[in-house]
Amino acid sequence: MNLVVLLKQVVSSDVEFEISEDGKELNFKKVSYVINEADDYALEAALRLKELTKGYVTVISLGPMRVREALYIAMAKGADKAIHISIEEKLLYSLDPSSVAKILSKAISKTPYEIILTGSESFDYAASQVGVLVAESLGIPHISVVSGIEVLNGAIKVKRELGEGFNAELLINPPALLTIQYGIYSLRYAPVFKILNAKKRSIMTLHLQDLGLSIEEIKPKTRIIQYFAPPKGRKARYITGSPNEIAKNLIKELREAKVV
Amino acid sequence: MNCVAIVAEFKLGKLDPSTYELISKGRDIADAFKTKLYLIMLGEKIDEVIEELSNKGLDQIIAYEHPLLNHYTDAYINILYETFKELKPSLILLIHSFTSMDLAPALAAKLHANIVTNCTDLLIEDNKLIPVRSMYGGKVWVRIGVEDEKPLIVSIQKGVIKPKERIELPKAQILRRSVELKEDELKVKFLRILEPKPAEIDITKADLIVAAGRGVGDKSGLKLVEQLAEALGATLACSRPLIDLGWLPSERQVGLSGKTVKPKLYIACGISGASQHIVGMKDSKIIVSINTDSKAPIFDYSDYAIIGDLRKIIPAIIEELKLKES
Repeated sequence: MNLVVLLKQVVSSDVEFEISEDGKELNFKKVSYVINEADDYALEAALRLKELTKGYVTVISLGPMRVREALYIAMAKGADKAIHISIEEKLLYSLDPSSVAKILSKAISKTPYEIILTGSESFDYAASQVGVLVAESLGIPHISVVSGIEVLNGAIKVKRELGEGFNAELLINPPALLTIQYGIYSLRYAPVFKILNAKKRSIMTLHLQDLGLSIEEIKPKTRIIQYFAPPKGRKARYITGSPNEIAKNLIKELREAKVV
Repeated sequence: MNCVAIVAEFKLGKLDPSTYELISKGRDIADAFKTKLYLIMLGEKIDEVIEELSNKGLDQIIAYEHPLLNHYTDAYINILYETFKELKPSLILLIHSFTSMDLAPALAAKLHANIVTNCTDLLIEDNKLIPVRSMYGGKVWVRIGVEDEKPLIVSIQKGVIKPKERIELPKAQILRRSVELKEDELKVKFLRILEPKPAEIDITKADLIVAAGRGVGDKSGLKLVEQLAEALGATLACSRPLIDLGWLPSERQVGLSGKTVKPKLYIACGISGASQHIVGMKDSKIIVSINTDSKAPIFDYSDYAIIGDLRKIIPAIIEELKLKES
């Protein structure tokens, strides 16, 4: 079974930034990059399907040179092939989900696939659009928020999360795209020596012109016009000091409020 | 501007109350642009829901009823696509949910519409619609600019719109449409609903809640949070990542894919405060949060904020509680 994983590299959740005075940009103060968590689960699901079906896993990532690190980790975990669609950081930041989906579907159309997997959302943008837009562009069916996969004869049985512990069991025929929910399986860990070995392997690099795409064709339909600080739901009182002082003050406050 | 259309949100065959949030927002926008507000619903046995929504400020309800529409499949996409092709709404509103994550982008692709998902608001400025949403786990919010010649699809988070009280609402015109559906023509076939194990506890009934998040680090961190809950006589809850790790059962999850709670006291330990979690606890009476990341969004929703390591803070709180008792 040919499996394709769409993997995004995102800033980690401890990212720190300041909003520029005009609100037009973010100035990053502290930034490190990781594999988007939901995509990591998509990769895990693909690797398990590979083991079950003697499959072949191709991982595709869009971004500047930094995303190769994510691709090496994916290879260290067991992906067979990595494709890096190279694009400048600044252009990447200007794109919207529809432009990203357009680029990815062009790249996938040159790759054999039965199942395409990607995360149910990204940490940074959390639009949950790219997977389904790719499927629509390729004209294949899709199921989102998948929490279980079982390969049957020809078809696949999929669990789709509904919330509060409920799931729907669904049947779909490949080729299909699945967006994978957090926690579908426990994630494997890539040991450092495997990552070092993966770095000796080659990554296929594609540029927009290789995909026959012009800047005009990937022009975003939506764009960020202003960044601003999140509205404060409540004005918090910060309790500071040593752990003992904090504990004393907090319990005093909670007793005065008669909640404990 | 042409009309505004809402897709009613159903959950396990029942109307989700978040639909009222969409109706309120949709009515405001339709009034501002002097246009009509439609609601489209798909389901099985929906007579009561139609009746219930008939006087809530909608101009027209378009209802599709069929046994195969009891659960979301690609049939929804096809029916809504055909409906919108004919109705030509300028704005389509949905609740950001597990259903719309699949449905909304598919409709956008088929209708060649612009789409902005997971929004926290939808504003009107200078006669333009401006979707507002959060990014980076809620650390920053953004306003989105949209090409305005195309239809726009917007999905809005549950719980962010406060429905307005309205009086004397006109009755909606009801349009029931029949639909031919054959199971073998669907690309996604529904088999059955898998129910969770019977719950042992109902966290929505708790007065005091101590909740653990990814910031607990490992099981010993979770154990500390459990001990704090015990010392306070509180109920233990958690955010999504601990369910995914299999450390706690889903009945203890607070947030969008879990439960909504409103206890007197909510202590968030190592929870960063992504919007999916906030929606489930923001109406608690007193909120205390403990987190090492001073920029964690949870602090924007807290009454008491403690920046620090829960491994040091929690034992001190437990000691303090013991001290006062003796």
